[in-house]
Amino acid sequence: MDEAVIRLENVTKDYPMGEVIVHALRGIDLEIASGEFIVLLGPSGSGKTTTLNLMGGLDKPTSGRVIVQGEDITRYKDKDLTRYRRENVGFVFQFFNLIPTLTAWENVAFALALLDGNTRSLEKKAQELLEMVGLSDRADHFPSQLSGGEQQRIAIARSLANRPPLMLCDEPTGNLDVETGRSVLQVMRDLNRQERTTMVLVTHNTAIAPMADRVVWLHSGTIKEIATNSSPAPVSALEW
Amino acid sequence: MNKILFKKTLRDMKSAWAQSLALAVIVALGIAGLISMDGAYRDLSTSYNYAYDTLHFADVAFSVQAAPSDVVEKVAHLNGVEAVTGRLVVDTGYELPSGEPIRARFIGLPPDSQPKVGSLYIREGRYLQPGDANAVVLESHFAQYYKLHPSDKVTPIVNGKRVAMKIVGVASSPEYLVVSRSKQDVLPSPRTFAVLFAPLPQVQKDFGMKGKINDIAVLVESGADRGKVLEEIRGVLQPYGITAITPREHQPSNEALGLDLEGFKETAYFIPALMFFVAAMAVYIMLSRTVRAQHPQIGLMKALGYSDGAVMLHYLAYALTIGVLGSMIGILMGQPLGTVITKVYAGELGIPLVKTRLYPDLWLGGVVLMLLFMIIGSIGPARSSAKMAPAIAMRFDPSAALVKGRASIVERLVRLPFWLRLPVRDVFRVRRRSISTGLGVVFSLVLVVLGFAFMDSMNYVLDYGITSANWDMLAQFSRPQTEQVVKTVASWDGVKYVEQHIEMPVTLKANGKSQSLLLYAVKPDTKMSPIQLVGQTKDRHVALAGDKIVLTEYMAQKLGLKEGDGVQISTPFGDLRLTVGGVSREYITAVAYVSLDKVQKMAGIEVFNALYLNVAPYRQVETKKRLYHLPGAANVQIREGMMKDIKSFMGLYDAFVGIIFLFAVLLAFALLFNTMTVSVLERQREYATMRAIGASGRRISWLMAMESLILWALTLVPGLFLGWLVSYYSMETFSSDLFVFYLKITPVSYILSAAGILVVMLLSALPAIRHVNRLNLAEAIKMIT
Repeated sequence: MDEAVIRLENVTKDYPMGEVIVHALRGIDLEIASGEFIVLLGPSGSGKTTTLNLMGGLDKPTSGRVIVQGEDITRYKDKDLTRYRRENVGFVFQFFNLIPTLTAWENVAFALALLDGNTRSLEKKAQELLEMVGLSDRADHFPSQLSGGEQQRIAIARSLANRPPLMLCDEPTGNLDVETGRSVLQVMRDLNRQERTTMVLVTHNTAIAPMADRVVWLHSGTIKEIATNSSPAPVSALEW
Repeated sequence: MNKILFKKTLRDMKSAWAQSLALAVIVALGIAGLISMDGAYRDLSTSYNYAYDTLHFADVAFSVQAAPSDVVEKVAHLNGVEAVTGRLVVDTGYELPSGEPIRARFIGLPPDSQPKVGSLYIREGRYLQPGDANAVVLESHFAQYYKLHPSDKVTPIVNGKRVAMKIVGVASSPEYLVVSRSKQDVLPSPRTFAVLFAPLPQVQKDFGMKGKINDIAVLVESGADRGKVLEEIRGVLQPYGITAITPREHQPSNEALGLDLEGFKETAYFIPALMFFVAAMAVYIMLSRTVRAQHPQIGLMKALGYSDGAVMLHYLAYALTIGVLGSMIGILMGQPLGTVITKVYAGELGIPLVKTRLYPDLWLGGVVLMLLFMIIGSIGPARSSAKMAPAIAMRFDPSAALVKGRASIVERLVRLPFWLRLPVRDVFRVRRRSISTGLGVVFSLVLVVLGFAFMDSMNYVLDYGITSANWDMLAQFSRPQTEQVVKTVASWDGVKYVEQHIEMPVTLKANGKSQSLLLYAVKPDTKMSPIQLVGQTKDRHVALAGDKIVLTEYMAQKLGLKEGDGVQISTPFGDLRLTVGGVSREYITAVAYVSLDKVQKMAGIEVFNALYLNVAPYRQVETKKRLYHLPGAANVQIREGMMKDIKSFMGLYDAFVGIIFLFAVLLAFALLFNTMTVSVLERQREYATMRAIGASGRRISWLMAMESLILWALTLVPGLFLGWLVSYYSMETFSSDLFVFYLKITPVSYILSAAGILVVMLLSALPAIRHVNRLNLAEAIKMIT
């Protein structure tokens, strides 16, 4: 295995829910190597999205450390976390989270512009990213004019704006039909294989597990099992 | 309504507590405005009547040349007469410690006991006593202005000499609640007019009218045939030369108070009505956003079997609950505020007896009316919630559904820099949101412009009064003067120019209407008169030539007259048929102008009763003294002093405008806070996503600020225009037969309104920006709001 790009050390996360404390994570340890394709699986409430959020710097653990490329991001202040997300992480969400008032290429350019003050070359760079997800012909469409699959691919293109070493995808196919879901997963697989992007994908859909290098099973805030696929299945072989 | 659903209503309110509170504040301000202003109007009206009843204000006063004191007994015995008081009223001069002459009026009253009609309300000291010599009870306005108290001295002119008299008491009189000398005294001021109540025998002796009275004040029994009673009194007094019969409704002080109260009443309705309208709009904005954000919940409610009516009622209940809560706060605020307004207003006017009450009918009426406005504002969004099909409602993504169509027109015309596109898109492509937020901004602008309009228009009236007329001094005479007086006065040191004219009360009849006016007969080439012709005819010679009359713009409009129309005027010299030759823009409305020649020809003699003068400032006080020494001099005014009087007369108006302005700003703030925060909060997920992908808090604040700026720029012109329009109509409600307010809004006021609203927009977005920047990103990126 390559050098670990992410390391979670005895990470716990408690949420106050009214007068009750919910223990979302109860001390997990996990190492993810650069270029790995990880699928986090588990039932609702198992802690998989919490794990993803901690890796992405969207949240902070109650205890433990999250080390990304040697940096303990749990010690970061808000400003540092913003920079960390901007420069190191690509997010893909279940509900796409595109900005409805921006066109496809502008949504991608929005993320590009955060990195580079020079906005002149934005359109060209955004077009390149759209080409990568096969949507260069839909560049001037607004989200409301695109299908769910197309919107998710735009979201992927946006997440690639910073050429992130790490992509975090939360139920990226949860809102898509099978065929569209497969096309989105294919894009992710291609990125992982061709760009060596580390991919962490959260899902409750066990059918996706065979495409991963490793599958992490979570249950009640703990890692129940980590399974390694010696020969990950091609996306076309997935059925659900 | 279902208990659980109502519980949800309350929880929804709690979760959006800041917006709910802002809406409740808007409602509270509307109710407080109505209750305080209408309550104050009622309190003032009650207080005036209470003072009149307590102090036995005369139903009618007869002025005669001179009558024996015992005529009072004769009148008292007439059927239908409840009470009579005989008085001796003498106008004279008064010399202030500075040497400046002003006017004074002695009123001789029975020294043994308070008069049965027109009693005095003793504020300090005591009433007159039989043994009092050279003693007076001083009218309270004058006493207050010059800080005079019992034991101090006053210095009226008696038989041409300055006499020091001791003040034994300071009192209010029902006839001088507004200290007006006569109906022609359009700008009454305690600075230049003292009323001295003295023992009747003393006044009779001092002015050589032993055993005589010249004023008979009468109270008519309630239920008596008033016309008949007055006829009988007239019969008794006829032999003594009746010079005037003044019924209560035409008594100068009462008439001035009535007009003032009428203006107050109109404002007391107009301003709250505007606030109620704003409340309805605010609830519309808030509820339409809430309904959109709660589509999935609506879908769920309907899927569970809640009827359309129940869903609709749920959202109406939201508006009504806030309406009721806001109204309660409004009542708690409005009632004491009304009492304060009444007391300040009454105190400023010197009303001796003030009655304030609680008005449950007004509270109830106000709340019912407010709830009606809340229903009007909320019915649209509530109905749209009920109409939704459950499956569609549950699938609904509110942020996506807001956006339809193509790129905005602006973008098709101009290629915008990248970072400007998002705020521009947000404004142009999310039209419903922009329109409702924009409406909030427009109405806030309207409210603030209105506040400025009141202030500017008042300042304009004052400036206009200063700049429109050219005279420095005005002298009025109680008897006709000849050309020789003009020559004499013109020869005095410091006098640069003298111009004679005639002032007389007339009645104008036209189009079946009748109007009392003060007629000025002036030279057509007058250099002094404030005539500002604004009609078709602009030349004074043409407008005043021959049988022509110039009316004020307000009066011409009120009487439905235009240039060329015929009118009839009744003057002391007889009736005249005249043609409207022009209209003049003036803030004092009940005046008209004809040529001096016309009136002099009718009178058959070249006389006048008033003079305009230009006098060097350093000689003005001296000239005033000399003018008072002319035979028949009744009143001399220095214009600068007059303007001071107007300003102090308007001091109360300034306070009133201040309250309106404060209400306007508070309303605007609450309205903008609501619209801005709702506008930002419904995009929480969008902003959270931006934060998640690495946009800094500063970047998002910048985007929000830019959007506010664009929206502000777009709403500026309609907002300022509507502000002007509403101000225009509100000025009309403030105008009366006494004064007209011309709308003036200075460019500075427009700029301040616009800049102020921008600042408020940015400030009111601050809490929302803080909220977005502190969002739990992990949660917010999933939320559908």
